[in-house]
Amino acid sequence: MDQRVLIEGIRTRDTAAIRLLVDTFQSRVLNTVISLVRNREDSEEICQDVFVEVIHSVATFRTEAALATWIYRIAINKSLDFLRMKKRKKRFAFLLSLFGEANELRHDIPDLVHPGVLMERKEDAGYFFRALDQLSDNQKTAIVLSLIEGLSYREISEVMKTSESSVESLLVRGKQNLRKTLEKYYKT
Amino acid sequence: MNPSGNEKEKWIESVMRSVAGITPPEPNPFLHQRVLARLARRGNNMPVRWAWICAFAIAVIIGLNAAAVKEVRLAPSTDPASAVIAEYGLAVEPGDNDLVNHLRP
Repeated sequence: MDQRVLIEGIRTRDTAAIRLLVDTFQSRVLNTVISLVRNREDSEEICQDVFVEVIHSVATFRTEAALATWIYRIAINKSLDFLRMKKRKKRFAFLLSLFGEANELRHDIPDLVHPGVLMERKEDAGYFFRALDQLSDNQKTAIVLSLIEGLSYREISEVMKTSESSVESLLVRGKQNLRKTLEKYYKT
Repeated sequence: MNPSGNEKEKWIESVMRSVAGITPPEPNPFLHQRVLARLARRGNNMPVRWAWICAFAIAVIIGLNAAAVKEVRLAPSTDPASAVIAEYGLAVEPGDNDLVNHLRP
C-alpha cells in the first residue's frame, strides 16, 4: 500500500490500515526497543505506546518524510524516556532503602541479552550490552541504529534529526567508549 | 603489542562483532489487537492535556477570587457621610455639623 494511502487510513482510524501499520513496523520497532530496554514485557508495552502515539499524532506527520524514520524516532524517544524513568525509580528506591525499605532490587535493570543474539555469542553480547548502557543517549541511539538495525548514516541522521557528519562522529566516539568500557571488563 | 594485549584486543573485537547479524525478536501476534484496545480505552478518557488546562483554569479562578476577597477586606472602611461629602465636593466648615448629622444614618 502506498504510504499516503496508509497514512490517510490511519487518520480515519481504519482498522485494516492500523493492522497493516503494526504488521509492517512492529518487528523493527520491537528490535530497536528491546536493544535499548532489554526486557521483553517492557519492550512490548513500549511498542504498544509507540503505535498508539503514531496513530494519535499522524495528523502532524509530514507526508514527504519517511514513515519508518518517524516511527523509529518515536520508538527511540519512548525507550529512552522509559530508561530515565527506571533510573529515577531506582534512585527513589535507593533513598527508601536508606530508611529501611528494602525494595532497591525490584527496580534493577535486568541483565538480559537481546533474544535475537546467536547462542554461542550470548556471553560476548552480554558484555556488549552492559558496555552500551554506559554510553550517552545519543551515542547509544546511533550505535543501536547502526550496528543492530543496520541503518545507513543518512537514515540515522534523519531519525536523530542531525547531520550525517554528526552521526559519523557519534559512532566513532561511541565505539571508542565501548572499547574503553570493555577493556575494564576484560579479565586477565 | 604483548600477548595479553593481543588477547584483549581479540576479545574486544569478538564482543564488538557479537551483535552483527542479530535477528529481530519474534513479534507478538496480538500486538495489533492490543493497540486497538488501547486506542478504544484512550478514546473514552479526557486527554491529559485538557485535564491540565482545566486544572489551570480552576486554579486561576480560585486565585482571582482570593485576591478580590483580600482586597475588599484590606480596603479602609469609610464613613458614608464623608463619602457623600467627598463625592459631591461639599464644603463643610469645621463647626457645621448639621449636614454631617443629617446625612448620618
